[in-house]
Amino acid sequence: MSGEMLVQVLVSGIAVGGIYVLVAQGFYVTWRTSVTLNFGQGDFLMFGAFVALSFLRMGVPVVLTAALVVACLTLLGIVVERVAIRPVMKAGHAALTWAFTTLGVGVIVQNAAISIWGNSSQNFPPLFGGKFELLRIGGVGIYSAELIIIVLSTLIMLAYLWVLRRTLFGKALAAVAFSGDTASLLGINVRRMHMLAYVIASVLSGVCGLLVGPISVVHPFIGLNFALKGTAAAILGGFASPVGIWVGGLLLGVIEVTSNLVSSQFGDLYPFLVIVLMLILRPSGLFVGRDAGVDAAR
Amino acid sequence: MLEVRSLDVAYGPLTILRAVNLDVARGEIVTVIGSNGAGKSTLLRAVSGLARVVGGSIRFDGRRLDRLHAEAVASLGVAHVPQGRQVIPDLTVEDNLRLGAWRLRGDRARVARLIEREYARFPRLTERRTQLAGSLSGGEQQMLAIARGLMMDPAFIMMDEPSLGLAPIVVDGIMDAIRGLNENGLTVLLVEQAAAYALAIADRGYVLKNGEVFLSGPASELRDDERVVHGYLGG
Amino acid sequence: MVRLAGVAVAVVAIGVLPHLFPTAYFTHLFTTIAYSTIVVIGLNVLIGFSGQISLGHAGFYAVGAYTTALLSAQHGWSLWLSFPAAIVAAAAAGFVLALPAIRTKGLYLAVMTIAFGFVVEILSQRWVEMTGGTMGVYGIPTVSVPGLPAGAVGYFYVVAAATLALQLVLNTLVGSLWGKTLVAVKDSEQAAEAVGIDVLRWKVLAFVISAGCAGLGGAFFAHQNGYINSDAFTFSTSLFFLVALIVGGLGSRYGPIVGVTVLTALNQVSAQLYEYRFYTLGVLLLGVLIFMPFGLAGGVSALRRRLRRRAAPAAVGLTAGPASAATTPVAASGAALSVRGLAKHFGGVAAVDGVDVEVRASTIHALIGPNGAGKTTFINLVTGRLVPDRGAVACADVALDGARPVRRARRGVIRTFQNLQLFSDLSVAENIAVGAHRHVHASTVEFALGLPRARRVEAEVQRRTAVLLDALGLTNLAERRPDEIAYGHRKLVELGRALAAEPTVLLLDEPVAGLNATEAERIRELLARVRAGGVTILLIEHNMDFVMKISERVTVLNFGQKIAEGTPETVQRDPVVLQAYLGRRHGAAAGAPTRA
Repeated sequence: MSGEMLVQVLVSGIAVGGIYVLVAQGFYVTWRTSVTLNFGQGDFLMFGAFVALSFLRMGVPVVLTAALVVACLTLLGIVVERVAIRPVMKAGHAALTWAFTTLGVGVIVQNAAISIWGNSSQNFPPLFGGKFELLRIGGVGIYSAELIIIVLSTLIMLAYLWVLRRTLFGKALAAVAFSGDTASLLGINVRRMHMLAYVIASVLSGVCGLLVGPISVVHPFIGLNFALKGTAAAILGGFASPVGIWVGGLLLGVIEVTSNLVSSQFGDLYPFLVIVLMLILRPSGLFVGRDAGVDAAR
Repeated sequence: MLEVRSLDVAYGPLTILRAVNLDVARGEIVTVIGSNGAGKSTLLRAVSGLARVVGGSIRFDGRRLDRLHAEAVASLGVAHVPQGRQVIPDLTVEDNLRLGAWRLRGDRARVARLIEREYARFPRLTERRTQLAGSLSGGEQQMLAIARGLMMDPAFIMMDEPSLGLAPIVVDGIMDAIRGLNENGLTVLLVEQAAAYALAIADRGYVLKNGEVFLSGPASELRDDERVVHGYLGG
Repeated sequence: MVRLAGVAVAVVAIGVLPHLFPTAYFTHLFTTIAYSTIVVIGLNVLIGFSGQISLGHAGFYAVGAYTTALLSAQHGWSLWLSFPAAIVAAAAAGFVLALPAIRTKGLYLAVMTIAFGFVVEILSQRWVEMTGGTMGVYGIPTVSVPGLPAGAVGYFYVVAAATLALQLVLNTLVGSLWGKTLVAVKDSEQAAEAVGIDVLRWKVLAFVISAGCAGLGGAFFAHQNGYINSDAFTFSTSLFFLVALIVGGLGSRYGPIVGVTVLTALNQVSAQLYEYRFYTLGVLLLGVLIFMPFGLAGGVSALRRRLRRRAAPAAVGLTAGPASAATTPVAASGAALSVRGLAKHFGGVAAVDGVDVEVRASTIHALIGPNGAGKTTFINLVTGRLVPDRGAVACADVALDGARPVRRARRGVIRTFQNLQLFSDLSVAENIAVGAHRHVHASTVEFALGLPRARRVEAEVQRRTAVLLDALGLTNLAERRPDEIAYGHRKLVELGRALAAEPTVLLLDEPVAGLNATEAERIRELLARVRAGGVTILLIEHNMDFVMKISERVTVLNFGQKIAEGTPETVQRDPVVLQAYLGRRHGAAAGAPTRA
């Protein structure tokens, strides 16, 4: 592989990996606070993409579109927590019922998308100005869209980390993750925290939908793919640390782009094989010790 | 201040507390002692809204607590330092304190004053203010847990076995701190298994055995009462 | 008799169905319902009965379909060979996936199965040399059985017969001790291991059976139209099987057939509502789980149980009942338990710090100590749930070190749990019967076909269970579920389950916690009789009256160390013990003024 190709692979890999990271962070934040996650989160991403597409086609500026996507997905986040998580967290339901109910919500969202926008692939209009599509940086040709996605996903990631680590709200989430009982003794409304965690997760996914558009086709069936890759990123990062997940996700993106280059026939397969191998060999992730006691594996 | 009447508490099919009556007057230190399994922690959890009350009532300054969610009880000014400290290990000492003032979070000036007050009270914590709470020793964590409870600026605080797992000299220090707080006006409900420490600083005490109040009275009397030992070791 | 009648009715119904609806369309539909039911029966074994999960079952379905399609269409194999090959291939895939999968649970298992489904889907699409990709495999031979009408109707009879046979085998298995054991694994792996059930083996077995069924269903699917392609093996297919199972009722015998039929019918009906037809799966999934978690068939059995409960409410509290005076059945003599230098640290804190305990054979020995003294850790070390940092545990002079909990249980070291781990989906009698597992020696196949050895084993276990129920005074409650009986009775059931294993050493974790004086006395009597039968008993308790009355020797732990040992009377008066529980006298040593 030539040097130029290497750089291009890295950039593409990091761009798509950045998206997986954001989906994974959504899983991470809800898993930490309530030991549940939204199996339909990929479909939320897809929905965000389509909402964005509709507004962009109407000529709404990008920033306003982003705000509208955030609003829409906030609503979806509240809905999924109320409808699919809260009712089945009480006694009388089997342990993984939330997996099925969130899956159900995802399917409903998927079908709604088909009803509204049809079931064929769609393309995004050029997001960030048509002139700079292929940049030359140090003699290497790179798509501007990918670069912008890298920048944006990094900024979002940093904002997310800031909220988690530097705001009182983020610390309250950490308290709830540690022990819901202890958190409520401090006066923290644990149920509301669960809901807010789901809102964060859904908004992150929706924004991903907006980012995904320029580098990939969008159709109603892309949801599960992203959900699975996002979960893989979270697993690689050990489900225990946002930064670990960041690295894991970028790695996954690079693996995916590389394997597609190596074999276009089975390229899609390798990321999933990586997932299965990780789960077998090192379920606690790349960065944590072997028996870090991850709840997800129990 | 706190009135518990005929309290029955259940955990699933298991009745843990039966017909418990208890009072804590303003300005007192009241202790609840008994061997493990007697239901002491459950009593505190019931007051805080974390355990299921199936009979009787709990009143705090006249308001009924037994139907409220835990965070509602906390916002009424009932602080609870749980068993086993339960400090958030991945957050710093200062962050743990800030979270203690969650219900006051709008008033930044007040929170800042409260933090300084706790640091003054527990100099060891000041030294460790940016350290992760999980790296503190057992005694330091206990101090942090108490300070965190006090960040709520409560009039009433409940503590669950602060002596658990701590060396005697550390326990002495903590008991002195509790006595000092009480002398400054804080009402304390102290649950302990190590009866001697608790009875030394309390005004009155209750002995729980198998979920029921076995004995009660002024601490000075209980201190020398043979029956307390029977409450623990039978026979 | 009822069973035979049921089978006869089913056979007649199958025979008549194609003539009631004599179009090719309906015959095709019924055939589809039949082999889909086969897949879902297998999925039910996995999710409903063994408590695992699979969100990628279309993968096994695909393996079965492609195996028989390729072998028969492209290599000319006879269907008598290609069908079994399909089942074996799918079962093998199930085995390969199960090995890593069973060590994970919950979320990770779900993810692994989805990934598996995806892998198979991608392979079927892209591995064009093998599978033909989206073009598919053509020319798959149809099935023709001499004596049956040719064409679609004959094929329906074949598939329906297979479905019926499978349903009957499933019914036999579920009704047998085998089925109860599988449900026990689902309800509480810890408790199952504690009576010697090899949980890992059972979970793999459930996976293999489930995958094999999916393979058979896939094989029938392949031969239905003479053509398959990769479109049939997507996540939607997995979702269909899952929703059918949930709608029909997870863990109920007829859930699969009910669910598949309802779902297929709904799909037919909603095809009219063009726009909204896609919503059925999602809405069903969400709605059923929230409002009808038992599904349709499951809901019926739940209702029946609730009606029965209302008709005869459970007795509250224990009567000092007419427990039979006959001796409780126990093993040969109990063994001595010897623990030397046992130690376990958790992150720098010594939970158990070099403890020696000798429990003499056929005695009752109590382990007491304040909160956090290390008693539960100690029991977990003895049973093998935790691996010690150092020290040795031996039972009857045979070293147990390194043996997994299951192995120790099979040697007769049986424990009960502080927080009661009863099998909530099994009745009282079944809970106890499953406890006898380490004496059950009959294979899955023998149970499935109702062969003589399996039936003898069942009869023997039933007999022993009846004796135990009698001794515990639980005969009237034998058919009740744990959540229908009083707490005191539940503790008896947990004890009964341990006794069914005929332990040599019985480890009891807080056997009378939460019981009133009468109930505690009842247990005390029982344990005295058990010991008289020769069993060695080590118990943890906080109820000192109980401990003092029943134990011959008492060991006291504090901060992970043994601080006293001896007869109950000696320990009660030991000042070291008093200090451990009550604390040092505050004022006296420190000289600080005590509260007036």
